[in-house]
Amino acid sequence: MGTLRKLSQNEIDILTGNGCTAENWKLIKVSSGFDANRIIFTRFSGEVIIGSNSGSVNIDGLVQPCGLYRAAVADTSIGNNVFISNIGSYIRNYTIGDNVIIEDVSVLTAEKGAQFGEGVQINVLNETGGRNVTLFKDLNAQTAYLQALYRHDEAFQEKLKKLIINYIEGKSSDRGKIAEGARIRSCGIIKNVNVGPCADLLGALELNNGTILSCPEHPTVIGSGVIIKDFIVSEGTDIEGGVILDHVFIGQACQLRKQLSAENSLFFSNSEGFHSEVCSVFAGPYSVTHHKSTLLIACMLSFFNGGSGTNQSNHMYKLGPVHQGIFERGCKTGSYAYLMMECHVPAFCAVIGKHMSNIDIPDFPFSFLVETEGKSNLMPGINLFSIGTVRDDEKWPQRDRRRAVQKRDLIIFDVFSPYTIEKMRRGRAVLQELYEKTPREENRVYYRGVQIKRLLLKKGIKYYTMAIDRYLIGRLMAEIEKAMPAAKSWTDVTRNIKTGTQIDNPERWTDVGGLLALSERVNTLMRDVVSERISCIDELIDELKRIHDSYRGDEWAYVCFAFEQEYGSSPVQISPENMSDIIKKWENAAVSLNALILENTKSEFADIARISYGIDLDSESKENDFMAVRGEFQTNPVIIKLMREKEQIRLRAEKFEMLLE
Amino acid sequence: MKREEVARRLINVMARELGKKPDQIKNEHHFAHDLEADSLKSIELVAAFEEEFDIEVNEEDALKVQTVGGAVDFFDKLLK
Repeated sequence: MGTLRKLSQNEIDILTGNGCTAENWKLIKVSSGFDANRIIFTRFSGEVIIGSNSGSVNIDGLVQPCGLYRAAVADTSIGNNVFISNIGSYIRNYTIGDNVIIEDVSVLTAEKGAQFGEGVQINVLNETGGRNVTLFKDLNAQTAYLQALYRHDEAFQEKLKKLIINYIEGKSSDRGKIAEGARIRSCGIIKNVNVGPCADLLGALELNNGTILSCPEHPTVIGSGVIIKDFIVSEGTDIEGGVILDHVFIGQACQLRKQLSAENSLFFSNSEGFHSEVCSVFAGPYSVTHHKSTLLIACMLSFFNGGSGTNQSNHMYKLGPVHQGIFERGCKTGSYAYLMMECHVPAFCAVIGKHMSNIDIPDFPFSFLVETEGKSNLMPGINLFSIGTVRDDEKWPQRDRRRAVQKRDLIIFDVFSPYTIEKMRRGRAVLQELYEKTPREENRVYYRGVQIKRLLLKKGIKYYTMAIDRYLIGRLMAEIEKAMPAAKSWTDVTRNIKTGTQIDNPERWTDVGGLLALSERVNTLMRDVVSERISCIDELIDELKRIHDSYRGDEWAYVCFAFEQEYGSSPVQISPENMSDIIKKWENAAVSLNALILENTKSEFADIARISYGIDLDSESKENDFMAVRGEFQTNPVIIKLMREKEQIRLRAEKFEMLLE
Repeated sequence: MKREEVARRLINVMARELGKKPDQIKNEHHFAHDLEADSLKSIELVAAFEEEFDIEVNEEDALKVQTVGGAVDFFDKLLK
């Protein structure tokens, strides 16, 4: 702001003439470029600093001179080129950055000792607080996960808490801040709220005890009718349309609209919430609920899509609302899907119907969980050839809306990863055991809250094997393709393939709020927190970034380990003869999965899909109506892509066969 | 195995899996339209047919079959 000076007598005279008053004019300081003529009907209390106000701002196409108009300002510093107008009550105890607009705001005040949302406790999963997460500005899905899910390790929790407290105390100031370029217009009470650069607050009813992180690359928007209490909202998020939030963390690039209400919940990056009610939910990245009458309660989600009327119950009228549920990444619920807590739903599972048993089946990813006549039926592996799962693999990275330079949540998007593949290997072993011990007369087997049709045990084994083959061999083929250009012989190829890093338990993986990681790396991180080798939050986040960056190497270590178990030979020692058989296995698996996906997609164009098209029309017109709206099977981009993939699979297999010859 | 035998066994399996009587199932019946066998049920049916004849079929080809008569043709050809 440059050098500050006191007001001249001439300036005081102008201000007084403009209807301004001050408790003590001597406590008002201004910088060069200050124009007293641009301060009208303003009441000053305490120490106030005013920067240059010679510029102008553009509000909805109207150019307005910077300055203070009809406002009461106490103990506040105002930057350069700020426009403040029509403040219903007062602005108190704030530092306002350059180029800020504050117009038609009831109250903007920060109290001594304000925390601006930091330190707020969010009771996720367990409404009564057994898994509370402490808010701080740099919270991300991973640091929240470590707080909420690893409660078994008391020493770690104690040290982690200390890191968070030190972080909050080290960076806190009890003066509010409206950062440069922020716009606050037509808002109600704003109390103890920090507002980040370029944030746009338009029509919010009440904001209390929070921080709105924002940046020029991705401004945060808080819109009409919004009430938020005890919160942190991250960069690029858009909250509008009467949303009511209490005790929440909202990550980057989220969209909360259309009267969503949420309490004691965390939403991480790219999540979307419309209409629904959310309570004590850890909504990891890409959690989506769009419908009225959907209640998400006491559960952990990520890459989730909740159907209309989805709900869960966490209160069995015994010891209170203490029950919890885990939906692993990629789950979808159909309309009116219900789950009774506790439950553990596997990754990429489609849940249909009402499930009244305690389901605990984390090792059956890519399944359908379907209620039939009041019973929960598991169809293992069926979701592997749903076109929806294929789309998931492509859509999430493409739909990453985050534009902030610092992407807070660390995300590994892979649908097929050591995490899901190892689960399928474990699930397949269970299915095999169940198949072997179930007599043919038995129609169903019961397993951890679900029943599985005996006939589908064998199918599940087959589908999981196909997915495992496609992944493990496909990854090896990718390594060979990398090694091929420099190789003159098969020996050269295998020599050029890197051996996997030596890691304890390469098969043990975990999903830390969207970050797929070797359990061993997470355990090491936790030990480092306990031993204080990690001594601050910044170091903790840096270590999490290192885990994120080591994913591809760790994945290869897993592939080497699992490949040897599956095919009896290490990828780096495999003979051309063995490789030829293995390539055939891959080709069969990849072609079959591709064909099953294609077949599944065909149903989108089958006769049943045409019902309701061409209302009141003859059959030819009905057909034309369907074509006009949905297009043709042969020209559908997804179908074309699947057909091309089929050809690519064959070409790739042929290329390898030639290499082996 | 004769075609009639293949048809009889297939229809018995369909009746069992779809909760119908064998005489309610006709050659011209469409699995989805007439027998309420959606895509999930079709997978179960294929599994049941495989077990009945102790064979493993190409699933993508089997799932293309849409009618009872089509299924008889498919398995009759396969078992020959």
